[in-house]
Amino acid sequence: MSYVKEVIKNILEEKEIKKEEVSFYNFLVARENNEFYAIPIDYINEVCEATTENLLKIPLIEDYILGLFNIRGEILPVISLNKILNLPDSTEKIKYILVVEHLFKIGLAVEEVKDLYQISSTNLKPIYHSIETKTSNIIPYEFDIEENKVSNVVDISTLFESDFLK
Amino acid sequence: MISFLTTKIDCYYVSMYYREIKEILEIQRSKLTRKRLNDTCYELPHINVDNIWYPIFDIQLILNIKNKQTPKYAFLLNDIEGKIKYAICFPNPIEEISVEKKDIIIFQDIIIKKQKFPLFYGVVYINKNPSLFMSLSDISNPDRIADFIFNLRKGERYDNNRRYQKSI
Repeated sequence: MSYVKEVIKNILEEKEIKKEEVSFYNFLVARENNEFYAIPIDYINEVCEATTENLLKIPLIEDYILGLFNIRGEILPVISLNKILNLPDSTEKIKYILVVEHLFKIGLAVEEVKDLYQISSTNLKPIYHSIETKTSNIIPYEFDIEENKVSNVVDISTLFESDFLK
Repeated sequence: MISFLTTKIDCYYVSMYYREIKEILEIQRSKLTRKRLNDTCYELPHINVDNIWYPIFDIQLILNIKNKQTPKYAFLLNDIEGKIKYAICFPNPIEEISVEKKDIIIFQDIIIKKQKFPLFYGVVYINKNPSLFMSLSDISNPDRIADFIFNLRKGERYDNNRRYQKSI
């Protein structure tokens, strides 16, 4: 192969590699209090409406488990991400439950389901934590959803492997 | 059909499996006394049943209920051999109900693991209304309940009427 051909081939291959590097992710963005959370849609089974009747309170349980939700005969713990991340409690009533499945099923309590977003990897901004805590890996990235508003990307597998759900 | 005994504690409806309970008694003051629990430092109420004293725990203390009511009924609980292991007392009347198997939903492990004290194992639907399926079958030793109540209050004496306090 001539030198020029070889150079062209290398350039093309590099371009292909670069193309592959940019990938797109689909998220459902929902709000709990003032925080927006982006959940990868691959993990979401469904979105259910929450009412006081279908959210059953249970005593002596960890405070980030807000209650229990019966979905077609299966009882799921309903989790508050704000409580896990030690962020201010919600002042509004929980309106929706995102049914998320990884190792088992849980419900994520939210007040508003915003929209579906397709985000390229280049738009995901890594979050650096100066101090490593047990929650720091649960939110590895964020992205802009509107002016002055960002959504936290929830790493579902890290959440399930954390002490909160073990 | 499966039989349960159901009652209300604060805002919670709870149901216990019928066979876990040896007997239900209406609490009488004359049948209660304060005694030291086995070899522990805890002094707590005991109930007399056929001339034997059994430790009795108020479920409202275990559940850390703020607005407690006077307990009126005691459940004498069975151990594996069918003997009384201890008693639990409740403030409200108890109703016997029977439900079908499909009306009992057992919790996934995570809900059991995340309880600070393992008490609730599922939900029993009574006329479509949920009540928590409570069981103390895993807690054979009353010391464990006394320890839990003590630790729940972070070192505070859960029993404020110890004999030695009165003498001070």
